[in-house]
Amino acid sequence: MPGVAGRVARWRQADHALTRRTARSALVLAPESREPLVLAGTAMTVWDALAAPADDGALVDRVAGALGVDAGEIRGQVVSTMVALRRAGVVVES
Amino acid sequence: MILDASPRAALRAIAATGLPGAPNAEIGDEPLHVREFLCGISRERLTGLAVLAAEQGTLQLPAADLNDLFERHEDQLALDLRLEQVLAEVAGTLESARIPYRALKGPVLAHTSYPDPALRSFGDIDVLVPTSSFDMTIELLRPLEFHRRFLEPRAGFDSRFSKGACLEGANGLEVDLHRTLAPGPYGTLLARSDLFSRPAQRFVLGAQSVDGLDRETAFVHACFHAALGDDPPRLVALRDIAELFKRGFDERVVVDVIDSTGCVAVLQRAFWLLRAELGVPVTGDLADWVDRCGLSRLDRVALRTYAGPGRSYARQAVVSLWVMPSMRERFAYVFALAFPNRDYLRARDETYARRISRGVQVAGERSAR
Repeated sequence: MPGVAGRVARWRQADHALTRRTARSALVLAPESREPLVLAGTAMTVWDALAAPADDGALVDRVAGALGVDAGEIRGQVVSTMVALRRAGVVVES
Repeated sequence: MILDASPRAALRAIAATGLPGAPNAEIGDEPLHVREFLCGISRERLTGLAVLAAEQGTLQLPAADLNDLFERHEDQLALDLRLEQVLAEVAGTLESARIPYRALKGPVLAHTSYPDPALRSFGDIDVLVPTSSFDMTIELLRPLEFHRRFLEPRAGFDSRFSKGACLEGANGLEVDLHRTLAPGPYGTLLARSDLFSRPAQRFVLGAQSVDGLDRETAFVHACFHAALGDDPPRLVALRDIAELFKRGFDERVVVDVIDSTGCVAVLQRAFWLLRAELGVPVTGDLADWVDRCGLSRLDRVALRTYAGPGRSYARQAVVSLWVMPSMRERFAYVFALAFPNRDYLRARDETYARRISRGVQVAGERSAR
């Protein structure tokens, strides 16, 4: 996912999102939203991995490390999750 | 091991999860019992503690029911977040208008007293404002689409005599706007204390810093909520008292507030309920002081209006007359309740004659005791 042409975009959790955790999910309510997102499985791992800013490559590596799988196996899933999280306003460019 | 296998006993065990001497939750194997138990957990807003009990192994559930519990917990947490968003908006509005306020109960305790906010859920937002700012606050919250759920008997009645007013948002979420911390005589007595005299406990919700009730007054409020709220008491209110004891607070401040307002009976009942319902030992200087205090005749009469078969708002209203500071206040209170405005009567399908007759009947019942 390219950011502004010529530089690599880094992503992070949106400031001021309201959150709760359970053992199997993270609930996130973005400042401009009225309905919390329930993130489970890979989406929860992606969310956790964005506690610190990361570009796409670093993010995929972090998620792969957390799940104990090869980065190539989950790259597509991580990228599509990222797109969904950005659309929901809970992840922003750093 | 608990001997009482009633649904309430299982809920009590969940409410006591992680506290010293907490029993396992025995809910039986019948699907109907499990369903009833899970509905009770949701109703009592104990999903966080139930999930904790399942993780700690003190609650055993079949896989499908455990999944149901997690879904209920996620639904409740989603509601908690939506309510916190409302609280942040309300706090911002009041700060902009320079109106002092204190957030109460759920969100405050979740963020300042419980080890994890997911353990303390809530169903509405409670905000205390000074009596002098009460009506203005209702006007200020109108642009946020909050309006009174119930009419007041006469203009200015709630800001002068009520515990507060329930405001309902367009999205169905509610803000309970308080001017004191309980209805009836004990709420009236506690209103003599300056609930804003101590610095707020500040906590952050998103971009908004929120003023929560200080820990000592929050403890007093938790006791009022447990002792004078629902009957049987809300288990989460009892858990609040236990969590506040764990966190610690200045007990001398609590004694000062309770002693100066004559509300020790409320703490006596709250501590008794904590021992009886959650099996939590209540010891220490504060408990010793509370146990040593005797009950007055007023206490015995007043407590009956909150718990047991004599519980009713009408009886609380009558006993409130005893503790009002002047005859003028009493007259204004009785006049407003006996002769409310016509919209108020219409909303209740009542007449002045029927209302006065019922008031006389309740007052008569009280005198006869």
